[in-house]
Amino acid sequence: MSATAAPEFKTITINMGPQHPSTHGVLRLIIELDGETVVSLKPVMGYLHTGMEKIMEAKSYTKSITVTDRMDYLSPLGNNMAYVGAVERIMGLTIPERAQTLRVILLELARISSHLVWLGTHAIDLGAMSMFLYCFREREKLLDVNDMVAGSRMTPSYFRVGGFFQDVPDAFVPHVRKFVDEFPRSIDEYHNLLTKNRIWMKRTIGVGTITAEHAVALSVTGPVLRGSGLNYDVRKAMPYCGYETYEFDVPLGKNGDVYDRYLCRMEEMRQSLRIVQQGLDRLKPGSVRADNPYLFPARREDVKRGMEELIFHFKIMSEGFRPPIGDAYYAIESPKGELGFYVVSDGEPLPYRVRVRPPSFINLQALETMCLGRMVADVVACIGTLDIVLGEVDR
Amino acid sequence: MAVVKLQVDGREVVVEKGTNLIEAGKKVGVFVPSFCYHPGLPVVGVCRICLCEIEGRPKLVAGCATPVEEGMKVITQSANVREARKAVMEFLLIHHPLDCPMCDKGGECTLQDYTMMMGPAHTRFTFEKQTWPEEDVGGKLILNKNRCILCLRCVNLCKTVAGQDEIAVLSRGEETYIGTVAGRKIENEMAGNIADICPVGALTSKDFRFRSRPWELKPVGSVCTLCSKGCNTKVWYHPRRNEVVRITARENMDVNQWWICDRGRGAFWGIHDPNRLLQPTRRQGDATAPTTWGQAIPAIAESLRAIVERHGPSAVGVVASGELTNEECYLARSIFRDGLGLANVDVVERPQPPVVYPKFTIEGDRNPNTRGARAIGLAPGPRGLGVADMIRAAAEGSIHALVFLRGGPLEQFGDPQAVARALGRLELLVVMDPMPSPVSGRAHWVLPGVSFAEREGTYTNSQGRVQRAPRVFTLRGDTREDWRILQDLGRSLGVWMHVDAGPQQIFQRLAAANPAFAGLDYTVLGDLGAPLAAASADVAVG
Amino acid sequence: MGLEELVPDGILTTTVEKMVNWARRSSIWPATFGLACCAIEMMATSASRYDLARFGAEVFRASPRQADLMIVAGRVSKKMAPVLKRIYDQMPEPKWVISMGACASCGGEFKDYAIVQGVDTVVPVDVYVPGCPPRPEALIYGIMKLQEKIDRMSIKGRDPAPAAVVEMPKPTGPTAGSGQTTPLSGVLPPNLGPV
Repeated sequence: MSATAAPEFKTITINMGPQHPSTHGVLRLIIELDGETVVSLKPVMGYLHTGMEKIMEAKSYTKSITVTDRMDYLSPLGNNMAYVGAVERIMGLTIPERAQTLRVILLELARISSHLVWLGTHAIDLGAMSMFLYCFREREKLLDVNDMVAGSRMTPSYFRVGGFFQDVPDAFVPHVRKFVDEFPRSIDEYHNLLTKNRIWMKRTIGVGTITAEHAVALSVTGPVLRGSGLNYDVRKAMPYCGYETYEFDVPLGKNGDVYDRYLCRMEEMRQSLRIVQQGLDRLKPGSVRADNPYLFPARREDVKRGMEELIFHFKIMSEGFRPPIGDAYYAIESPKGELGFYVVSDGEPLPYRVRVRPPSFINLQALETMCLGRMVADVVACIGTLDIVLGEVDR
Repeated sequence: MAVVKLQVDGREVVVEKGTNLIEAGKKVGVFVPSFCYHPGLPVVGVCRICLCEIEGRPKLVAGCATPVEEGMKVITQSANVREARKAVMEFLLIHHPLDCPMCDKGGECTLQDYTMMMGPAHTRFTFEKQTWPEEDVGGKLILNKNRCILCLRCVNLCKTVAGQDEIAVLSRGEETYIGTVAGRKIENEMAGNIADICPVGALTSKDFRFRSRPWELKPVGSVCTLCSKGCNTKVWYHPRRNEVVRITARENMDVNQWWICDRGRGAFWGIHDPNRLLQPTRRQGDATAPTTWGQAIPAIAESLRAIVERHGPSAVGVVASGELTNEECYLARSIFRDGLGLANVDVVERPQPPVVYPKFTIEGDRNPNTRGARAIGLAPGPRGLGVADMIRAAAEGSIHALVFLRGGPLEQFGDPQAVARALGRLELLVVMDPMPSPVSGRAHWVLPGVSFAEREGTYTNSQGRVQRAPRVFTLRGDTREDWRILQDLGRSLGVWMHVDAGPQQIFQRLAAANPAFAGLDYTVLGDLGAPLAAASADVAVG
Repeated sequence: MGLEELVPDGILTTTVEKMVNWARRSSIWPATFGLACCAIEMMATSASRYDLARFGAEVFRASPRQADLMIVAGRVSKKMAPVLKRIYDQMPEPKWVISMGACASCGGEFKDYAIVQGVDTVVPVDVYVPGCPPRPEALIYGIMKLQEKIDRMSIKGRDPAPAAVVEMPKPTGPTAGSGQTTPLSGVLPPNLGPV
């Protein structure tokens, strides 16, 4: 071997996904490695592209709600809310108070449900297998709530433009109260297992750091942004559904690493419980439908006896309602970040255009920053901390 | 023509003197509702839904019955007008039965649409509604008196367009109803239009009864091919079931105005006739067996060539048809007359007694494209034979092969006994037709074409107007569009070497080769067609 | 009877085929192929409340080379279809596919340019589980049906004997169709019409 020439050094490019246990869906990453260190990381998306925004242009406003369920399928009611809220904004509707309160309760329960999946899968990726089983055990109680109000565990499509089609059943409030009473103990259990766990701390502290400036530059939102210390929560910044009347804190991190984001989300679950408690306390009997004959048909007895009611029922079910010409953007704080829907109406029963601001897609762009210079094993931790849902990334 | 300038909802509009307010509004995009008003029928002014406010006048006026005046200011969005419309809708809905779930008109019902637009959302009527039984009133119509809102369009149409009093307004006041007198039935052939223009489900078509909801259907603009009038139609196609479920009229002021006759309306049954030919067949002796296109076309080409070689071009005859599109006629002309040099090429006449109504005539020629076929030159060449002579020659034995581009009953081609004898003597009988017939029953080769709705093409009506009929759908089966069959045959014969993507390109060739069609192409034809070049119309080339 | 009377207690006789089938159906290890929302329900099926492990699906193997069953859980986009085929090809025989959910079975709600209208256009499917998403109970039922199918397998070939075929009655009555629809098969023309 010649003494003059040093061996040529090359990086290895590996492919992670789209079928991979840790990619939380069909995400493909092309990672260039220098030994074990990440030199570059490029996500390849589109393996779950469904053309949802285009499909929504072919379905009436009410039917499109079912499509939104399939975007962020971990908190489907959140997607429903953002879409329905945009249409309500175009129509200038006033939503009755009971509907608003129920919406807040269900949205926060959806947040907890999503965070439980995040925690379970994040932990199992980093080796803590039992967490998955514990989190899903709690999540089943929340899926029972969905089942109870809408008939479907995971794709409820329960929200409607103008409130809800039907009120929640009587078993709803006792069930949720029971959950609110029992869940804090579960959060304590999770803390006991992970927060001061040496392995957990070793794998998450200082890993996947992103500075606040960089996060803002990348338009990252949600716990990923708040983990770096920036206080931006859509519920406080642009309140909706009456969130300004609820008391809750927005947890912030300091260092912007995986551990801080983990603590943020854990605390968010506690704050969500607080909001749910307030919601249950202030829940009063009343209508859950906005007062607009074009949105909901009349009572069944009236539809069977009244000509006008029958005609309205027929046209609502076959054609759907026509919002006025206009457009609106409506954003909510989904468990992933700011989820926004921009809906354009041309006066027809079908939306003209629906554009989604997908927080997972935008947050995913921060993955490269988080992983550069770190080991390939940390990539798994970073994907978990971003809490991405491929249904939302690819739509 | 004198013009009047006025304002409708603040928008300036200039219209001819005598125009009513509804039409004036249409011109500037202002919508004025109407039940009884129809541009093709005399004004009655009974429904009162078109009430508009005119600035300076205390009472609302009926938009259909009010002619425009200079400087008039029409308002259609005031509170008065809204109240009036709401009240009219409420009154109309009082006796209307709760039939929407089973009424054919649901989904395309003017009453439903207007109720949503301007009617009340809740009923105040707490009494009993009327309960007339449904009746069959003839003309393939079913009358449901309960749903009738007495707009009188049906009576108006019957009287004005068909000149008949078969359906009339009976009794008076609160007891007024529509019906036929003394059990008579509607017998004129314009009756189907009544189902088109009835704004509710009072008069519905028996053919369409309970077949489909309108939102499941795709309407495609086409033309009727049952006579040389070439009425513009809408062919309603059901994608999921892959069938055409109805045909309705399409407005074309130059051809059929707003109406079509009942024969064209029923044409869709023919498309789905269970006896349709769905596979090429070959007869050897007495046995008929299915075959493939790959076998049939080259075999036919070879047989034709052999006969021409052995006995000369006068031993072959082509019985073309005015049912073929212009593109197919051009292919037939290029392949048989120009390519193979056959002089015995002619179009079968299919006359029928014309039916004349005051505002509509069903024409005397059952072919949609006789004029087109003649203009393109599907006529006997020098010393060539017409259809009757071809049959005689075949019976005598001087014609050995006949190609029928459409079959039919034997009477169509001459004396049935003679035609049968003639066809029996032939060495080669080829028939291209979607439907079986006595001619195809005797053929050596049967090539299944398709109906008008399954192939793209143009037809030239008796007035010289060339109109497009697009391909609506494809029935499942081993059929081919007729132009494709002719093109493949031409290629096999070695006389048509172009590779065309479709009828649009064939039409371009046709227009280039034929001065009668000069300047026309599919873009020019558009949705409503265009007339042949006036100068050299109908002069066949060559 | 026969041989079993002569051997001491505690010995059962059976066929090799039954043994092999029993072993295979009792330890089906699925490959992780969760694509979308159905994947979450698949995870729920293997989690605490529904516990798929009781049915033999002890672990979900990440590597297809170590898996028997591919549960296609979720919508398959046209971009993902070649990957699906490649994963399927990497699985060793005997292998089975469960199409979970409406999207995998037929395209579901999404009849458009991006979604494969039924995963059976890419890989052969053994059991279809409808639902959007199917409840965990439904998926467990699907796996049980697969187990019944494996029981009918022959160790010689791949295809199991078919289950009992149910003859669907022909529809009659007013909703049976207008009778005017065209038959699908070719119809020979009638022979020699009237003269």
